[in-house]
Amino acid sequence: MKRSALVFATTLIYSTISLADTLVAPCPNAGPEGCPKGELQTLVADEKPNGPPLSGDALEQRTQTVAADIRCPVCQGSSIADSPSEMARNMKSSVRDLLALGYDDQQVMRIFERAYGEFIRLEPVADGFNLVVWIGPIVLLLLGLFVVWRVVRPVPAGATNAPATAETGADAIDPELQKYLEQARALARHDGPTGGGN
Amino acid sequence: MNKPILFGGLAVTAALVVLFATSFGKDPHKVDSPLIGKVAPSFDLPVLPEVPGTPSTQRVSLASLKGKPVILNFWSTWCRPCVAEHGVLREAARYTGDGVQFYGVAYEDTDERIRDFLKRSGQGYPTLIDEGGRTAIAYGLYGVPETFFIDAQGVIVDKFEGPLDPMTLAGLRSRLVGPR
Repeated sequence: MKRSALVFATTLIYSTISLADTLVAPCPNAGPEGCPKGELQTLVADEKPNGPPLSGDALEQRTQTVAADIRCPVCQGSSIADSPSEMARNMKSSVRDLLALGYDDQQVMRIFERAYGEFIRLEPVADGFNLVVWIGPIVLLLLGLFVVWRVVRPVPAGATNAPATAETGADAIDPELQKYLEQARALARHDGPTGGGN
Repeated sequence: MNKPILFGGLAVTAALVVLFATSFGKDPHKVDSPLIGKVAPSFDLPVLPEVPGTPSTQRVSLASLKGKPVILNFWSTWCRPCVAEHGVLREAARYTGDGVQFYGVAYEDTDERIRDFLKRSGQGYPTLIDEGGRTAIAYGLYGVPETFFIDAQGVIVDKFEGPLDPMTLAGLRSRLVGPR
């Protein structure tokens, strides 16, 4: 019952919209230049521009900046600012037109993202799972340092050439360590026959 | 056996196994369209004029097609797979019992070449002209052919990249109108 009412209401709304469309058509969002301006409508949907309209050098500069961050979907890892393909040129001209109307950088990015997904951003957003890209290398570096630290054990200073010291006796031993060595030897002598023997 | 090394090795291997298990068989270049399940971007495009050199007198907007399922095929005459699938689409468009509307959108092409091609291969359904490629961008197009399946509520049910064969097309079409 509820469902059929909903379907009826939806149908009514749609038929009203399509009727309105045929009455107002052919291009409801025509700019001062006429119909072609209305084609931007397909990209912006209902979004209103957040910023001031741009023109001249400022527009050109901003177009370059924004286009440099948008991936060219038909190329290999280059931006639409760098690619000469027709797709990239069309996209760049859309960026320019959007900025000219006052859509800000984030809005333009969002408009392209809506159609292509996050893939369209040349640089992924540092958020959620993507953080792995930022944190991963640091974690791996720390892990590597840890492994190196574990493998290269802290060798007692002065005992770096251990075999040599064993041969040459006390001469090569750090005077600081001398007393410990003496103690150890005394212990060894003391325990020798019982603990160390056999 | 050194336990940390064993467990470290197992952790790395397990991660790789999961990665391979989920990713093998997938095309790494294919990115899922965020538009599937969403309301199709609106468009309002001129129909290819019948008489060469004359301005288009007719326009088609998605809003005006609401209430009818739409199969929207982006194509061009320079694209071999598009030419190959044209016959499949033309034949499928002959059946009108389920109310599905077929539209072609010419992508990076000229009116003359399209008209020439359609004259040779048969028209079947209207071709719309996407000057400036804005509709292609709004639909997140990567290349041609790409075909979008839009239901009567204006929602993109699915999208197909590459040339359609009759079976695939029939399968996707049935999802627009429900099984018959």
